[in-house]
Amino acid sequence: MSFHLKNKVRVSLFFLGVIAVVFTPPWVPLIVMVAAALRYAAWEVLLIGLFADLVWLPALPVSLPLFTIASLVLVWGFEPLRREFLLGKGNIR
Amino acid sequence: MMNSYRRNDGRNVRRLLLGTVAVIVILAIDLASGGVLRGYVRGGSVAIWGAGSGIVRSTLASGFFSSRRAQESEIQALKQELVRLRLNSAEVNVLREEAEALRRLVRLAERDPGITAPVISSVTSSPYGTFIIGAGEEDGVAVGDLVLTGSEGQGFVIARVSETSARRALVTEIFAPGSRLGISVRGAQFELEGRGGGNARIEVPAPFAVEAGDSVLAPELDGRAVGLVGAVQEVSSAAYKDVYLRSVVPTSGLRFVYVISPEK
Repeated sequence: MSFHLKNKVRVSLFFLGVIAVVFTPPWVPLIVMVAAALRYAAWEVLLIGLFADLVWLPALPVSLPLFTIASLVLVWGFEPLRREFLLGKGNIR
Repeated sequence: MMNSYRRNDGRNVRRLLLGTVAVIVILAIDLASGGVLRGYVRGGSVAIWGAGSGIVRSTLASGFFSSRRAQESEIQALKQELVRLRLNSAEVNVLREEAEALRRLVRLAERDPGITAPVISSVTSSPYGTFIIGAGEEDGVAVGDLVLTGSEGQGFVIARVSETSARRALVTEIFAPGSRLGISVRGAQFELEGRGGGNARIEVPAPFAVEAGDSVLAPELDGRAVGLVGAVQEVSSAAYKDVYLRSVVPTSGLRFVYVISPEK
């Protein structure tokens, strides 16, 4: 995958995730986050998770920022998998 | 070549580390500032929601999808009718129970002063069972206020105000995932466990008589109604049975809510 195409896909997934946070049920942005984190070392997944929590997380009752935690788990949890299977195939920048 | 991969791989990990630290710092700043960042981000999300809704409305109004639009408006009308009938039926149930058993304890007949507020976000998008209403501190809305739906504050409590800003408030549904609330069904006290999407569950002793349609009251919320019994799941050998509760009005169809202060 060319550098420009890869960037386009990543940017599209990011905006799709942000829009999904506002308009769709929570499983949609979650799927976008999984897709992005599975294929790329996508730090922007962290931003989608953070955005979801800043929009929807209530101060009371106190709750864990689940989407941020999920984004951290996805980004770091998939890192060994990406390293194993995608080295040199799109995640090298 | 492999060195280049390793170099780039290291760069990716560094970026992820930086992103992780940035996210943690932003969350910490938001917590330390009492949710100032959240206020700004919510403002942005409300603007996106408003713009998106406006685009959808104007596209539909343009007649581009006229046949589809006609069908959708018919479906909407039928849904509204269904909701109205459900509401009427549920309100009759509640009033009957009040008259028979809780007349001295529950004074739902007295109308509470409150304000009507528009729902300005999606009500199905939050993983925490929250949504945003277009009234805030300037309108007298405070944390802990009750959010009702129905007619003139006589309806059902669907949420409580969790956070307020000047002109907006974030409210958390009574049946939000993981929420707990003491409720009363047929005079017996239980604790409900929210499941999200306007659903909740309670566990009752097997001999306890309860059936679909019974109203669910919340003594903590001045004895107001919060929903209805939707279904009862009984296993013959078990000592307890699961009772599933549902909100009377599907929250996905909410346009306006009524906010009252529990102290008033």
